[in-house]
Amino acid sequence: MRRSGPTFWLAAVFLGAILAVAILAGWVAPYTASEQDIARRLQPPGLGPHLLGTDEVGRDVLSRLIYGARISLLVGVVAVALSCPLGVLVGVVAGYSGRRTDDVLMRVTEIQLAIPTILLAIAVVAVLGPGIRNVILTLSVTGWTLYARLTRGETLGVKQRDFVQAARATGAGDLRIMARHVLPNVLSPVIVVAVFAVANMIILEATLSFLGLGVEPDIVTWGRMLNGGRLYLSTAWWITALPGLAIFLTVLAVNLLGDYLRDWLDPRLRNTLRGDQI
Amino acid sequence: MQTRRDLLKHAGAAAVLAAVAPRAAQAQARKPTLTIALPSPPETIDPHQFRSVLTGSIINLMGEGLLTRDPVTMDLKPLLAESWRNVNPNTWEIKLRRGVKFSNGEDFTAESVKFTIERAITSKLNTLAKLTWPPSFGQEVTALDPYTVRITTKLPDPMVPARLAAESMNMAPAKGLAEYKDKFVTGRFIGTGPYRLLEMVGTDRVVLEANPGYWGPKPPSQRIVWQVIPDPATRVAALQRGDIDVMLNLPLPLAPTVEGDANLRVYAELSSLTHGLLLNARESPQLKDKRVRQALNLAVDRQAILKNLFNGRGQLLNTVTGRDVNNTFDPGPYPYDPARAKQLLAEAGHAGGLEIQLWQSIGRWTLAEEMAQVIAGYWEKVGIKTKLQFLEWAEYNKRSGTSQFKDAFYYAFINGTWDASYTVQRFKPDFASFRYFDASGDLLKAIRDYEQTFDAKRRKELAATALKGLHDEAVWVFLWQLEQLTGVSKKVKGFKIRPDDFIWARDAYVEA
Amino acid sequence: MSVVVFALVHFSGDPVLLMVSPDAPPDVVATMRQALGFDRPLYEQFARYLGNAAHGDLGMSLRMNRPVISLILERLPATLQLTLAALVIAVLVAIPAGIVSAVKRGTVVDRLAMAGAVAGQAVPIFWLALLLIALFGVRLRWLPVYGSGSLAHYVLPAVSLSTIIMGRLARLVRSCMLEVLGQDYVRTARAKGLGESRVLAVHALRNASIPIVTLLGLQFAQLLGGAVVTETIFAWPGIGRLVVEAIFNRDFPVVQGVVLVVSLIFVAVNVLVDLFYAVLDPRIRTEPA
Repeated sequence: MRRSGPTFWLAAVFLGAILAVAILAGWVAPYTASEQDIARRLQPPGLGPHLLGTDEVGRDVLSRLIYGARISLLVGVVAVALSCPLGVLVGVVAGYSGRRTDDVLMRVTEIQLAIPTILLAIAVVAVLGPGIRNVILTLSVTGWTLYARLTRGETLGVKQRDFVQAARATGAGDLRIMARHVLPNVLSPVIVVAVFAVANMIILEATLSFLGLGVEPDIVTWGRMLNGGRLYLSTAWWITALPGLAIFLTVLAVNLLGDYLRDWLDPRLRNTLRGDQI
Repeated sequence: MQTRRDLLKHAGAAAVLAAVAPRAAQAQARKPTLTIALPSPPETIDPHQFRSVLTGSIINLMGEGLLTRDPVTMDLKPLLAESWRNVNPNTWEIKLRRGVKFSNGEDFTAESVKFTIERAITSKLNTLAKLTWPPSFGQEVTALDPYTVRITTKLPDPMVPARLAAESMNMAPAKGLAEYKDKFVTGRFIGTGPYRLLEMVGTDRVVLEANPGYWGPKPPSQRIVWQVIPDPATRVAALQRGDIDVMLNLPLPLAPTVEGDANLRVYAELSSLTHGLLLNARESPQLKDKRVRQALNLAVDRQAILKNLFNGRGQLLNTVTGRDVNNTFDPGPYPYDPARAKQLLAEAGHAGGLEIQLWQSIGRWTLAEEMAQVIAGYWEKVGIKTKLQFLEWAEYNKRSGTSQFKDAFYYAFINGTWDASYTVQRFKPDFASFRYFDASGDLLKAIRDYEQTFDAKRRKELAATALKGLHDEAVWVFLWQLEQLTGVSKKVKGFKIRPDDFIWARDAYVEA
Repeated sequence: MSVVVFALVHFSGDPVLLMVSPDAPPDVVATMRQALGFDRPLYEQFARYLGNAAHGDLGMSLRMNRPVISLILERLPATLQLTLAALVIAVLVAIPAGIVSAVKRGTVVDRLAMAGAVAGQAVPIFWLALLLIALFGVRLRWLPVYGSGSLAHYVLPAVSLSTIIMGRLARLVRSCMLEVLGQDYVRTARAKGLGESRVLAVHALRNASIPIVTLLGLQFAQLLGGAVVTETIFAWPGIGRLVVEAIFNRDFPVVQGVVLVVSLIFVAVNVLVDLFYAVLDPRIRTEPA
C-alpha cells in the first residue's frame, strides 16, 4: 500500500463525503430521521420518493443513513476524544514518574485490560442503562487504557533522550518537561491509534445495539438501523444491508487512511504499533 | 374359478386387514419426541414461583391443579378435583379425586391441598398466586376428610373455582416439599402430571418424559424437549431445517418465511394480552379531566396502526378486558375523530396545546418503539406535544407497578381468572398495585358488587356497567389484542395455544 | 473489574426492588433484602464478596436460585471450546495468508488477501453470523444452526467468531514476515543455498512468532468478548449467553462472577504468553513491550 495510490484517494474522498454529509445532514437529507408513514413501509429502493427504500415503519432509509452517519461518527469521535487525553495523561505520567507511580498506574490499567472490551461495555451499560450518553461514557471507559499503555512505552523511550536530559539539567519542572518535551514526541502513534479507534467504536456501538444496550430508540445510528431490520433480512434486505455497507465502507476507509497516516508519520511506527494497538 | 365362498373369504380377510391396518399404521406413526423452541429459559422449576405464561405451561405438564380449563372453550373442568360446590356464600366444598399419586410416590389428599394453598398464598414466598387471590378475601382451608376440602373466605367470593383453575395453583406434595414451605425449589419437580422432569440442562433446555404412574390417559408424546434458542432468526432456521417441531414467539416479520415453506405453517391465536396506554389520572394534573383522556383516544387511528404496523393481525379493543373473557362487554369504540379530539381539548381549556409524556418499554413487546412513535405522531396532529420516554424492561416493569410514570404509559395485561373481575378490580382505590385511576361513586359500587355477586345473570349486568363506566372515563387509550404467532411443522398434531396464551402441549405429537 | 461492577450495581438503584415483582408486599421485599445481605454497609458487602470469592463462593444467582460458581463452571467449558476452535480456525487461515502475502508482496494475491483482511475487520459479527445461518444452515442445509453437540455444531459459530481476529492476525503476520525476510540472517540462509521453504519455515517464522503469539494472547480476550454475541445467535450454552441473560434479568451476582472469572482467565493467558515469550527468546527482558 503505497502512499497516494488510488486507494488512498478513494478512502479519503469517501470519508470526506461521509463527514460532509454528517455535518450537513439537515440540508442534505430528503426527510427527517423519524418521519413515519406506516402505509408506505417496507418499500424497496427505487426511483420513487424514497431512493433507498423505507424501513419497517415507513421511515426513509436514505435520510436515516445520513442522520445515522452523524450520530455514529459523533459517538465514535466523542468517545475517542474523551478516552484519548485521559489515557495519554495517565501514560505520560506513568512513564515519566518514578517506579512507584508507574507501578500503581499500570496495575490499574492492567486490571481493566484484563476484561474483554465487550464484556466491560455490556456490564457498564447494563447497569447504567442504555442511552446515548451512557454509551459514549461506556466506550470512553473501555478505551482509555489503550492510549495509556502506548504513551507509557513511548515516554519511557523519550525520557532517555538528550533534549529531555538537557531540560532536566536546566532545572525545568517535571510538569513542564512532560508537557513541552515529552508529549509532542509521543503523539504520533497516539494519533494513528485514535483514528483506528474511531472505527472500532462504530462497530462496538453496533454490537451494543444488537444486544439491546444501544442508544435511545428515537435516535438513529447505523448500529440501530442494523438491529431494527434484523428480522427482515430475507424480506426487506435493504434495511440492514445499507447501514451494514455504510459501516463496512467507513471502517474500511478509516483503516486504510490509518495505514497511510502511520506510514507517513513514521515508517518505524509499523513495528511499534504492531502488537496490541491496531 | 373363484367360488362364492372364496370371494367371501377374501372379502372377509380384506375387511379384517382394512380394519387392523390403519390402526397399526396409526400406532406406529408417531415420533417419540416433540421439540419446542422458546426464546428464553424458564425462570424457575418451582411450582409456585413462576411468573410467565411460558414457564407456567411447562410446569403444568408436570403438576396439576384442582381444576383446569378446556383448551378451546375455556370452560372450567375438573382435574384433581372431582366436584365442587358452594355450601354458603363464604364456603366452598371440594371433593378430591382418589388414587392419584405424586411422582415421589406420595398420595394426593386433602393434606396436599392445604399445604399447597398455604404455601402459595400465605407463606412468605413471592408467588404468582398472590396476584390471583386478593388478601382481603382471606382464605382458610380445612380438611373434612382425606378427600374433602373446605375453603372459607371472609367475604363472599364467587371466583374461588376460577382461582383454583389458574396455573399458579398446581398441587404440591405436603411431605415431599415439607422443607420448602418458605423457600423455592430448584433442580427437581414433584407433581401429579402426565409428564415428569427428566433433565434440565442449564439454561439450554428442559426435557420432560411421560410419567408412567400418571392417573389419567397416557400422553401421545413420550418426550417433550423445550429448547432455548434466543435469536428469532436462528429459531426459524432451526424450524426450517426440521431440528425443531414448534417455534414459539414467531415475530411478525419472519412469518412470511414460515408461510413460504411447504413443510411449515403459521399458527395464529389471538393473544389474551390487552394492550393499552394507561393514563395516570392520579398523578398527572392534565389527565384529571375526562375530556382530555377521551381526546387522547379520539386522536389515534388505531385501525390504521393495526393494519399497517401489525399487518391486520389483531383485534381492536374498546375496554380493559379482553374478548372471549367471561362477562366481558364491548362498549363500542372511540372512533378516529381528530376534529372532535381538538374540540374536547379546547373545552377542557387546552386550546393552545398540551404536553404529554409517553412511556414505553424497550424490547418487551413487538414493535413497541415504533408503535409509540406512531401514536405520538397522531397526538402531535391534534396539538399535543408528546415527549417519548423509553426504558428497558426490568426498570419499566418495576415503575409500572407503582405507577410512577407520568403521564401515559404502555402496558399489556393478562387475565388470571378469565373473568372481567380480574381487570376491573384493579380500579378499586384499595388495590395493591397499578394505581393510576381510582374508581368512585356508582362505578366503584358496581365494581364492588360485582366482586361478591354469585348470580350469573347479575354478574354479567354488573360487569357491563363497570366496563361501560371505565370506557366512559377513558381510563386508557384502549388499543388492541394482537395475534400470537407460532411456527409449526405440518407434521405436528394436537398442539394448541389456549385463549389465555397457555401452551397446551399435553395432546401434541409429531407424525413420523 | 469487580469493583467497578460492584460499585455501579449499588449506585444504580435498589437491586432488591428490581428483582421482586411490582406487586410484592413490603415484608417480602424486606425478607429478600436481608437474605441477600443487601442491608449491610457497602464496604462490608464488598469485603465479604472478595473473601467468599477466594473460597470459590461467588454468591447466588438472584433469578435461578443457584450458586453463581456452579452456573459458571457448567458453561465455561463450552465457551472455552468455542473460543479455541475459533482461534484455531483463525490461525489456520491467517498465518498462511499472511506468509503468502508477504512472500508475494505487491502482487494481486497480496492485495486481495489484505483487502479481505481489512474487510473482515469491518463486518459486524452478528450480521455475518445471520448470513452464514441463512446460507449454510437453511438454504444448503449443510450445518446445524443452534446448540452444541457434534463437530458439525462447531462450524458456523467458530467460523463467525474467528473473523473477529482473522483480519488483524493476517495483517500482523504479513508485516512481521516482511520485516524478518529483510533481515541479514535470512539472506545468509539463502546464500547458504537452503531451500526457500526451509528458510521461511525455520528462520523467518520462528523469529516472527514472538509478536504473533503476543497478539494471539491479547486477541483471546477479544474472542471471549465476541463469544457473547455468537453464543446468543447460535444458542451456544456458554458463559457469554449466561452473562447476556443475566444482564437482562438484572442478575448482578452472575454478572459480577462472570467478569471476575473471565478476568482471571485472561490474566492466566497473559502469563502463559509471557512465559512463552521468555522461552522463545531468552534475550528478552521484562522491559515493557
